[in-house]
Parts: sequence; C-alpha cells; structure tokens
Amino acid sequence: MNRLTSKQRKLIYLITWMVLMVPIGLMGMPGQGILAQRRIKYDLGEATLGAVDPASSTLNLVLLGMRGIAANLLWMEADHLKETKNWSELEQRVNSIILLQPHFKQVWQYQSWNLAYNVSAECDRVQDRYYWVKRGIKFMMEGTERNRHVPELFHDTGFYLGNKIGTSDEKLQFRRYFLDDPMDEIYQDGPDDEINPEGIDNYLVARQWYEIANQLVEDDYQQHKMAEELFLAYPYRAQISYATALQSMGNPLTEEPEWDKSREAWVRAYDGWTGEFGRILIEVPIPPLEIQIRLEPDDEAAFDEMLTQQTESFIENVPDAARLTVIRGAQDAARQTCSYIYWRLRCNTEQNEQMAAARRSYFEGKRLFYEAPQDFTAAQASLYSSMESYQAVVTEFPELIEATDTDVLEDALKAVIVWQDIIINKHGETLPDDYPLKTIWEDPRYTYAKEEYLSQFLAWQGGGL
Amino acid sequence: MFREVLPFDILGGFTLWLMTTASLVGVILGIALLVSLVLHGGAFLGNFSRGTREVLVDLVDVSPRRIGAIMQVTIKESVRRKALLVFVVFVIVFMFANWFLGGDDELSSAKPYISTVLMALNWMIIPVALLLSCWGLPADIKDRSLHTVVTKPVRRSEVLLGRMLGYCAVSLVMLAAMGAVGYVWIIRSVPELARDQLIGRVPQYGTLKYLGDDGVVGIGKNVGDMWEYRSFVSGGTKSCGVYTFEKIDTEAIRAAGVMRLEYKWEAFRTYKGDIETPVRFRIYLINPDTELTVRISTRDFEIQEFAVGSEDTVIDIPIAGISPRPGADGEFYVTAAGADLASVGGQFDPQHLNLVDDLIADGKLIVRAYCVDNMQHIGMARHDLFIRLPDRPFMVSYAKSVLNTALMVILIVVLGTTASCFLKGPVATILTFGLIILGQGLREMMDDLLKQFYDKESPGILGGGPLESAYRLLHQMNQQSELPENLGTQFIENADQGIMHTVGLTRNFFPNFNHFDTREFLANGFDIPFDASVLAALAVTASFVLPCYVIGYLSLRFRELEVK
Repeated sequence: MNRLTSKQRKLIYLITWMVLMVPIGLMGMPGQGILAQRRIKYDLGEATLGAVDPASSTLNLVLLGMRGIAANLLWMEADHLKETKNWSELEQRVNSIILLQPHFKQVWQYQSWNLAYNVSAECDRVQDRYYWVKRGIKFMMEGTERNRHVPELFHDTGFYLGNKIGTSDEKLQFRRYFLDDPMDEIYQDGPDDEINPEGIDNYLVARQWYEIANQLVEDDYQQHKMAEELFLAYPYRAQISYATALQSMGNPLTEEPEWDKSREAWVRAYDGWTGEFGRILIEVPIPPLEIQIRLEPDDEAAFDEMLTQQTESFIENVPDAARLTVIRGAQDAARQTCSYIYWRLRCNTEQNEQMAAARRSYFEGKRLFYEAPQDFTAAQASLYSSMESYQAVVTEFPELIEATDTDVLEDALKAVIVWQDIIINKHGETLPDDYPLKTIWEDPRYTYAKEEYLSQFLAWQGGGL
Repeated sequence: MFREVLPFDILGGFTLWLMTTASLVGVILGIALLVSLVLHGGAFLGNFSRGTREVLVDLVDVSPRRIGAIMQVTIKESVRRKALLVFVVFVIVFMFANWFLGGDDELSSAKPYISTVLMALNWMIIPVALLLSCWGLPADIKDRSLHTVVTKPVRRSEVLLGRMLGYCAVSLVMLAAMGAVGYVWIIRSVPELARDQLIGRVPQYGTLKYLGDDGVVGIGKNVGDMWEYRSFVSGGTKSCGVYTFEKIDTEAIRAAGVMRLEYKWEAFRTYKGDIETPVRFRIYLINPDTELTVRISTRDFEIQEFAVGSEDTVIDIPIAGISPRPGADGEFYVTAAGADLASVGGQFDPQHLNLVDDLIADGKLIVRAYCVDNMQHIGMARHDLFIRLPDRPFMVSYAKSVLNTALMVILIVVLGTTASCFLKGPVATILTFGLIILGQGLREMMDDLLKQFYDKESPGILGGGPLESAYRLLHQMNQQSELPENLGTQFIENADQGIMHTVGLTRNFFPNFNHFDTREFLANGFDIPFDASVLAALAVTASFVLPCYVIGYLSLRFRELEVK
C-alpha cells in the first residue's frame, strides 16, 4: 500500500532527478568531464566536427530514433523532385536532408555533385548552368564548414572549381563568369564573392581548396579517396592547369593569351611540383609494409634520409641489404602513379623559349586561319614556325610525346593538319618532301591520334580544332 | 503545374453524394427497424415510426440560442486548454524560418517560401482541430459535465452542433491569425529577385496534340526522360505541338487590347551547337475555320527555362496591327507569312488583320509551336502553354488557399466530433487521423488501383490485390511473375476480387483531402481556380457535414453516458 501523498512522491522524483544529474553533469563538464574529454579525443562533439547548427542538433533530438526514416523519406522526395525537374524544391529538400545528416560526407558529395553536374546539365542557357554549378560548389563549401576535418570535402570543392568550371564544354563562359558573374543585379560586374572572394582565376581558387585538404592530411586526418601521392598532387596540378589555361584559353575576360603570365605560372608550377610536392613525405602502402618516401630527389643522400624516416615495422621486416631497393621501388611506383616525371619535364619545358615560341606561333596561326579576315599565307608561315619550334622541343625532350598525356603531341599534330590544309586546299599546292614534325606525322604509333584530329577538323571545317 | 486541372463536376458529385447518403440512411433505417422488431415484437412499426419522428424533430428543431450557449462554453474551454498556444508556436517558427530559407540573394524562387508557409499552416492547425474535436465530448462524459447538460432542456443534436461550431470557431480564428502572419512573412521574406513571382496567374489551357517529323499527328518524341510529362518535337522538321484553345473570352482580350501567351517549354539538345544561343522556337496562330495562319514575330523566340512566372516567358500579341508582311528583323510585332495569306480563303482585309476577328473563330484558336534549330528538340506538355488572362493579386490567391485550409479544418472538426460521440478520445483521434492520412496520401493510390482494377481493356492490378501482394512480398517475387496454379492462388485471387469490390463500394465514405491542397497552384504563381479547387473543397466538406451530424447525433442519443 503506497502511503506517500502525491506531493511527497513528486518531491522524491525531483530529488532523485537532481542526484542523478550530479554525475552526469560532472562527466559532461566541458574541459574536465570524462565525457567531454572523450568527445574531444575522438572528435565526436559537434563543435569539434565543424560549425554547430542548432537546428540540426535539435531536429535530431526531436526525431528521437526516427532520423533514419525521415532521411530516407527526404531522399526519396529529392529523387522524385529531380526526376520531375523541380530544381528549386530539390535544393530545399537537399538542405533538409543535411539538417538530418550533417556529418555524413557522402550526402554532401552526392548532392553537391547532383546540383553542380546533373542539374546544371539540364539547363539550356549557359547562365542557368553556371548558376547551378555555383549552387553545387556553395553546397559543398557549406559541407566543409560543418565538417572541418574531412579532407575529401575540401578536395571536392577544389575539384568542382577546377574541373567543372575549367574543363566543361562551357569552360570559356564559366571561367569568364567566375570573374564577372552574370547576375549583375547582385554582383555588379564582379565575381560572386562567396566562391571567389579575391576575384582570381578558378584554378587558383581550386588550388587554395586543395591546399587546405592537403594540410588536413598532413595533420593526420585521413582521406579515403585515392592514393596519397595522387591526392597531394592536386594543388600543384591546379597550378599546372592554370598555366595551361592561360596558354590555351587566355585571359577569361578578354580571351587573349597571356604569354608572360603563362610562363610565370609555369615557373611557379615547376617550383611547386619539384620543390614542394616532391619533398612531401608520402606513405606508400606495399602490403604488409607502409613505406615513407619523397618523390624528389633520387640521389644517394636522399635515400639515406628516407631510410631514417621508416617505421619500426619496416626495420623489423626488411633485411638491411634490401631496404634501399624497397624504398627505391616505392618511390618509383609513387612517381608512376602521379606521372611525376612527365609533369616535372612538362613544367620544365614549358618555361623553355622554344616551347613558348611553338605555343605562340600555333595560337597565332590558328587565329589567322579561323578568324576574319582570314590570311592563309600568314597563317601558313606562323604554323610552320610553330612546327619548327615543336620539332626542336620534341628533339630535345622526346619523352614529352611518348608520355600518356597527349597535350604536346595534340598541338603538334593539329599544327601540321591546318598547315597541310592551307597548302593543299587553300593554295592548291603540293606538300614539300620534308617539313618539321614529318617523322612524328608518319610515325605509326600516332596514327590513331592523327586520324581523330583530322576527322574533327573535317567534320567542323576546321572549327573543331 | 503537373496535375490535371479539371473543373469539379458539381452535378455528378451531388448525384454520387445523394446515392451514397441514401444508401447510408437506408442502412441506418434497416438497423433501426431490426432493433425495433427485436425489442418490441408486434408493436415494432409504431415504435419505429415514433422513434424516427423523434429523431427527425431532434435533428431539425434546434434552437440557435442553445447552440450558441454551448458553442460559447466550448470556446471558453478550448481557450482554457491553451489551444491558442499553437499560434505562438507558429509565430516562433516563422521568426526563425529565415535562418533556413532566407539570406540568400541568389535564391530566385518564391516557391520554397510559399510551400513552407502552407505546409506549416496545415501541419499546425490539423493537430489542433483534431485534438480539440476528438477529446472534447469524451472529456465531458468522463467529467460527467455532459450529464448535467442533458438534464437541461437541450437536445443532444444541439450539444453536438454547439460543440462542432465551437471547435470550428476556435480553429478558424487561429487559422486566420496564422494565415495573416504567414502572408506578412512571405511578403517580407521572398527575395527581391523573386518578388514578381508573387502573383496569381489565371491560365486558360487548351488541348495538345503532336505532329511528327512528317507533319502527321503522332505522339511526340521521348528523349530519354524517365518523367513522361513532356513529349518533344524535333527542330528543322514539320514536327510541332498543336495547342487548341476553346471558349476564349474574346471580349476580355478585346478590352485588354492584347492576348498574352505564356510558355514553359524545355530544350533538349542532341548536339552541343552554339551553347551561348538558346534553342529557338517559332509560333503560328491559326484560325481553325479559315486556316488563316499568322506567324508571331519575324524573330525566333529563345527558350527561357528559368524565367518561369516572370514576364520573360510571356508573349504579348496585340489584337490590332497585324501586318501582312514581315517587318524589320528584331522588331516585335505580329506578322503574317505572305504565302500563308495568299493560300487561304475567308473574308478578311489583309491590310487590317485583327487577332480576335480574323484568327479566333467562335472562341476557338489553334497555336502551333515549332522548334527551329535542326536536330535540337523542345519538350512540350499540355499545361506548358496557356492564354494568360489578367493576373489576380497574390493576396486573393493566398486568401483562397487559406479558405481551402479552413474548409479542411471544418471537415476535420466535423469528423473528429462525430467520432468522439461513440469513441473515447484516443481512439477517436486515431480514427480521424487515419481518415486524414487515407484521404490525403492513400486516396490517390486507392483511386489508381481501382482504375486499374475496373479498367475495361486490361482489368487487373499490376502485382495483384492486397493478398497477392502480400504473397509476392513473402516469396520475394516481382510484380510480373506468374503465381503457381493451385487452389491457394485461386483463393487469393477471389479474396482479392472481393476486397477490391469492397474498396470500390466504400471509397466514397472517405473524404478526398487532396482537394484542399492548393500548394502547387500558389507556389507556382497561379491563381487558385474556383471551379477546380475551391468548389471541390467546399463540396467535400459540405457532403460530410450532414451525414456526420446525423451519425453523431444518433450515437450520442443511443449511447449510455455512464459507460466511460
């Protein structure tokens, strides 16, 4: 028989609650409590993961155990909205999903890709496409704010800025918009300062994001996206892309090539590739070992230094005599993975005067050939000069056209195609017996590439090159 | 707009209601007669007629004063139960809603803002109406306050009506206040760029058929979209979309001096082409009688996929000043192709063509839309092109939307109060909530299943009825696999037939809550059509009031109040 009155019972509940609160409070006390310490140690607290979103935390509490179901429903709705091309609502739904799963990196990756790549491709106007590319990038940037220790998200932001803006079909327009946003009513002839606060080239902004991602990896936050040497190469590859873009596309606003700026960019690219990237200590997994190597340099002293960096497990498992061979092998493998030698050579040759002359003459020859008023004679001379320069470069650095990257080979072959077209079709003459790049033109190894560029040229009356 | 907008068939709806109500009354009278027979034996007829008369008097002869008094008590009681706090919650929600939606200058759509308000309105007022109406009467019975009331000269029908009206009053006042706050929030929060989307466009839709590449009527092309809402016409061919508009209000157009055509087509490219120039289209107006064909503008129009709701997708065609010859390139005006003029008959002055007199025949007009660019495509759906009648203010559309919500609230209160007459609070809540869910989410599915079931050409549901579906689920079978031929299968199929017939017979007892949903209209900047939406909502609510009143009264009259 319960002899306690209602008031007494309530008092007991209150006291019990207060007593239980004491240990919970002590354990959870910021800084000293065991729970708080564990949270910091294992990076589990909201504050340690990234920006705290009160709505997100509250929502998770309110939903109790139903968060998964709610997230599933929202994903289904988002899919439906995408299928029915309801973009603005899709974006809202994606934002709701994020409220439920703010630290689930795949949500950020999947949905930002969705906006920047899939949704943007559905629009017909280039301005509309750019709008959705920006929405995808901004979404990913928000992801990095909420997940400050996830290198992949920073890396992906850099990738969108570099890859989507710099290499898509609309790259000329996108690169221009990146400096001069088409939404003039908001950005007044300037860039969207949320994604480009300094008003610089997209590749340079991409490089900044890649650098943050690299910093996180160096701070021991793991990335699970690709081999470490590939991942770490991205900021330096962005610098290379920047230099290449200055040559091939020129200034995004004027579309005029900037040769001096381009050479400066190549100098910086070379310094970055060999002086910074090449000197990072990289962990190469060769099971069961983890071998620490640097990509540069490859002399005896460097290998001796690398030997001192190896783990205890390496020392225990690899016999003394084989250690240097294993380290050399690991360096070789890592170099191949990221085409280290090729890019070192490329950065080096692009600073070369002959290479710069080849690029310049090719660009000028193409312009004279395509743009009104066309001057075929001047174009022929310019292209010939370009072919001569390319021939000199290739003779000095044959590895350039033998590598997997076909950029130099492509420009060299295209110069020959246009030059031959002028002689045969425009001037009605026959080709001379000998001309620069003839050996490459007739080399059977390049038949496939040659035919592909030729068909592009014929299909688009030269416009495709 | 992806939903078919059809005017509500008021006559058909009323006939159906009459039949359903008559059958319900028949069932009630049958039960009453049976009960009378069992209880009174030979004197059953007299007792039955006396009872029926009493019921009728109770239902009809009600005192507004007494109803008013009960209504007043109900309102006081609801206020005391802090029902109005929901309004405070609503205001708090919208104080912070801008955290999630606002602050983004680029967000150029008003849609999320409008959807958010309408969703919040719905999901806050529904629980209030549900809980108030379902728990009021059972609480009265539990507290025995109803015992006191029924000893007074007040009819039970008056108690029921007073309760219903009281709950409606409380809920509606709250809804009105929340609606006003929501409206102010939308006006203040929608970004500058999207302000022009806060309108109530009044569309007049036509019908659409497609001509194939050879100019013969076909079905349009599928460019690989999973969503088959639009079909595509090919550029540089005879393929086009043929919209036929009927019952055009020529006087309104004459008064405005202009006919406005609005489109929302979609481009699809089979090759990149000139990416900076959008895919282009061309529009012709055709008189269905004389076949006089007029091309709108010598310029080709460029697709504007993301300017929906703004003026960029509207083509204004002046009714006078149609020139028989093409004019200067780039100048916007209406021109007729010379060849077309020469090739048609009919009485018209080629120097003074007039849109209304020469192109619209008995309120009928044909519009043909072609894609200009070779090998590119334009996707068209019926609702993608309409004649835009003068816009209504956003406030009017918003008010209609709130009115629809108000009608839904009334229906919920009526259903909830009726359920509470014969069930306890929690059970009544579950029942009413179940009806809402059924009427909102499952009703369309149910209608779709029944459509498949009664389809004359290929009757039968994909994957079978409920039992067959359960069997397939358990055996992890897909929807197409044949079931084994045995007695069990026969039983399942026959049972499913019975279940589906029952569903078909009883579906009209479940209110269709989809008629109250106005989000798609309002969020897409359309005026809410009175005949297709408001009238339908009104009809649904009205049709349930009387039957619920009768059922509720009978339950209250015959229930034993001491049974708690």
